[in-house]
Amino acid sequence: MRQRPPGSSIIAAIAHIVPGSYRDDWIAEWNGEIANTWSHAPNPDARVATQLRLRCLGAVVDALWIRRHHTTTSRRTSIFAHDLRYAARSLARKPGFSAAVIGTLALCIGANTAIFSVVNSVLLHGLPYRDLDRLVAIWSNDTHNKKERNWVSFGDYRDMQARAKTVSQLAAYFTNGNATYTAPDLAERIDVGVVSANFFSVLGVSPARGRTFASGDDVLGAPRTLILTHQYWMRRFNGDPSVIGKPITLDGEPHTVIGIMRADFPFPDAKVDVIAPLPMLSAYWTRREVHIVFLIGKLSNGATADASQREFAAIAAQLEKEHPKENAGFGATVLPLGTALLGDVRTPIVVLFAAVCAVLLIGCANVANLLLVRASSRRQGFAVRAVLGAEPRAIIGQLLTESLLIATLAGVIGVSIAVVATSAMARLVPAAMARIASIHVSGTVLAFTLIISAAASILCGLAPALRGARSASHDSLKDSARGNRTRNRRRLQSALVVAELSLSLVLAVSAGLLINSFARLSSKNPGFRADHLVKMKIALAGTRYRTPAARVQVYNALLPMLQQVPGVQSVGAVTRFPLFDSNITTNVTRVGVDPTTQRTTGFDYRITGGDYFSTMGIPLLSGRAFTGNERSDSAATPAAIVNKVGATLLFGDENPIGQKITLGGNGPAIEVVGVVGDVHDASMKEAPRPQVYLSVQQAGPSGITLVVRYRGPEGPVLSGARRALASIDPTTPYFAVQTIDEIMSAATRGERFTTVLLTCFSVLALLLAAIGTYGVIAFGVSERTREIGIRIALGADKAGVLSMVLREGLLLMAVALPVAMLGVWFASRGISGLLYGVSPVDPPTLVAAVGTLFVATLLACYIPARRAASVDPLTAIRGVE
Amino acid sequence: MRVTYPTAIVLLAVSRGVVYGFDIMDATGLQSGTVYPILRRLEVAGMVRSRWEAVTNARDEQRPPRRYYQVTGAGSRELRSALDKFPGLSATIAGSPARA
Repeated sequence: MRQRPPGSSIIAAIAHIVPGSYRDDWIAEWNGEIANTWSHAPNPDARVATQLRLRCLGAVVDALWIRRHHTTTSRRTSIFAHDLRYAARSLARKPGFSAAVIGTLALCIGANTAIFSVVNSVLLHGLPYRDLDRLVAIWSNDTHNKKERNWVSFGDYRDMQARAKTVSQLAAYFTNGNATYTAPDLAERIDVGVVSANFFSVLGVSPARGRTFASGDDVLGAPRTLILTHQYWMRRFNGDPSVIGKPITLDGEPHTVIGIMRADFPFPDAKVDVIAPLPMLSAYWTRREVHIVFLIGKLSNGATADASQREFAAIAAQLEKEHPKENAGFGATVLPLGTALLGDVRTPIVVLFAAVCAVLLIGCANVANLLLVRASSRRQGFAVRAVLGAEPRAIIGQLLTESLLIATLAGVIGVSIAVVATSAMARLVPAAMARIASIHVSGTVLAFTLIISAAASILCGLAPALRGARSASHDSLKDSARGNRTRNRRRLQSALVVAELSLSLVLAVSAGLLINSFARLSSKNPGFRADHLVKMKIALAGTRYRTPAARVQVYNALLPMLQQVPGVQSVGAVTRFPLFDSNITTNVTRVGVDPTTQRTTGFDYRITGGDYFSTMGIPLLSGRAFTGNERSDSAATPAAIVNKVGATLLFGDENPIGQKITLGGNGPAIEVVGVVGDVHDASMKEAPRPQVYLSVQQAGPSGITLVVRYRGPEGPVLSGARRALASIDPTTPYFAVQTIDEIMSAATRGERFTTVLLTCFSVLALLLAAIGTYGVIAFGVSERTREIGIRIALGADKAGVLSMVLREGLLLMAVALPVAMLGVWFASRGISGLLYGVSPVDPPTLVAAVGTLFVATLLACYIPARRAASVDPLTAIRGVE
Repeated sequence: MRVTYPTAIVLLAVSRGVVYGFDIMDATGLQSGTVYPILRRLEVAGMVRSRWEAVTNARDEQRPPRRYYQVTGAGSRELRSALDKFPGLSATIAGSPARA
């Protein structure tokens, strides 16, 4: 007897491709040819069998042709249109269900889109510099104070520029300049970025109009030029292009506007109004002890950031030998520019994006559960359709179309939520993010919304669709198969709830750690009294204030006048306000001690006036404050005050009062007359650095911040202060007016932003997980009404039924706990860089989060448990709910 | 429908009595993934029609019935055009003794 012809099984497998109504004929045709060939083969051996099988493989092409021809595009479109109409009618019939699933998904998609707008604006498109991967940031590394990112002096910049080979160009920039722009009826203090002439060519950016600086523009004596940022050009000049080529007056000097930058140009590390070339800082050019600029280098061909780090470290070591007093302890740090500028913001953005993706997964799990329940209630309908000829793939297509419609509607609503949330976030983001890019919903963000909506539709709809297709069999009409189906569905639903609970616990622990950390940071003593203080800056520029004596005269007149303003308790002044202004450092060495035995240390350099320390509430620990009689002439002995950290660094256990120091390595000897308490200056997280204070009488700075302690409302104090300054010089405005509350709030704005958002996502996740748990338990109770009725009829008491249902819910949580712990371990390491004073493994936080989840799960199970306990056994046994 | 060279070969084979799918492959040297889609297209275009052979034939040989193809009038006209278009076409097919 001849065996079955070879290739028949291949034909049988390929036949599934052929549409059902053509399949039998197609199989018969191919089997006819195979059987004929095999039966007529003179020697039907393995070779013939192989040839036959190879011919049968070509049947795939035939099958696909038939399928394509008999399922044309228009027919596919009409099937899709039919499914879409059916899905719309189906959702309209159940408005409550539809609102729940669409609302859940819309909230999750909206949150995701809003956070992605931050990711897109800041991380993906934030730095529009050409060849960003070839740009490096270079800082001097203050090894004595363990400060990796420190400014570079002009002298070091020139030397590095001459000696470095790993960079083909080296640019310098300064971020904290300001100047007074004066025009008829206007005197405005504006922020100025100061740059070397090659700054824009190193960054590879071109202006929107005009030109950038040319190579001769940053030499002393060059004509004064200026570039406007787009934002300032629009705000001050209403976008008038004729401003190019015209002079504008800064600090009494005319500067010709030569260009206007593009709207998307971010000045590194700062928001500035105008950009000026280096001669604006010429006073610091020869002062190697003053570290004042940041550097950006363009790597030479073939050079790497690591090689550049080694080279600059070697150059810094050479400069340390050549200038031991000014450069002692200063190395060099080189980092890719993207890492340097985005490093502080990358981690919180990534953490928030991961959290919001977890919320989306929880939302999808909830919707999947709801769709599963719905598919389960429709299984008889699917079975009847199957009996009438519908294929399982048609049912899958219909259910997936339904979830696509849900996800599309949710995506549209989600975009609206995202637009509102994004504009709210743009006002709340930390300054570090806001400096990099303006956060907005763009075309890329909308495309992202489309993608996650599609992903959500598959995630939510796949399981119910597959289950629906499995229901489309004759067996599903039989009750005997029902038990297995219900068990499998419940297992799937429980698995989804366990996943939701795990994710929400991970988010709860992360939020708890950040809340704990933020609370510690906010309650930390900044080193001064942070209440009833207001500050305002003034800058004395122009020909009238060329000499320090002229400026000191103004301060000596202004400070007593401010003291007389009603509501003012005390008045002081300082060049750099803590937690607000950037830093200037200088080297400090002891006089009379063998230089080879001491190390030169970088101190924060401040000039103070009036009763600064008592106004700020900085305690005087020993010695005395400045008297106001210090003079800058050579007959007077200059006086200095140091803080406790600085005194300990310089003098150890010795009494610092009366000791002599020099600043910058080559200045006159200065007597230490007092020691004050330490102040958090750079940030609340960083430990206080060593600080040295000089009196304004000795230094006569060109700009100063007035500090006023007041009682009552601050409005009258500010008005009085403006009148006092106007009476001395009406052309010099106040600017940067802020209360201490605003400064303290801004100092922790980044941490607050991340903490608040993560807490919101955690609460949302917990809510969704609780709703999901409630849904699964409630549906389980409704399915088991008869069983519960029988239990009660046989003697089970209501408390027993209640605890049975509660146990089921808590069992889900118990299963979720070990899964969640793994997630908590990873998540806490991911956010460890954002924590302050809190360990990533903080038992109280963990216990609190687990406790919160326990309470939420208990509450979610309680309502269905009570419903189960109040089941009437007679009604339940009769099968009537 | 555009009559390509392989399509013309298949049409010629059918017109010369090579009427079964596998026999057309043997006569033309074309693969199954080429011949069958061509036959389908020709049938849709009305140039060939297909029939099942008499059941008695298959039963006598103890095998399933085979489907065979015949050229229609429209197909004959297209074939004449193709023979003009492809001069060497006529020599490619010798014909087959297999008849439906």
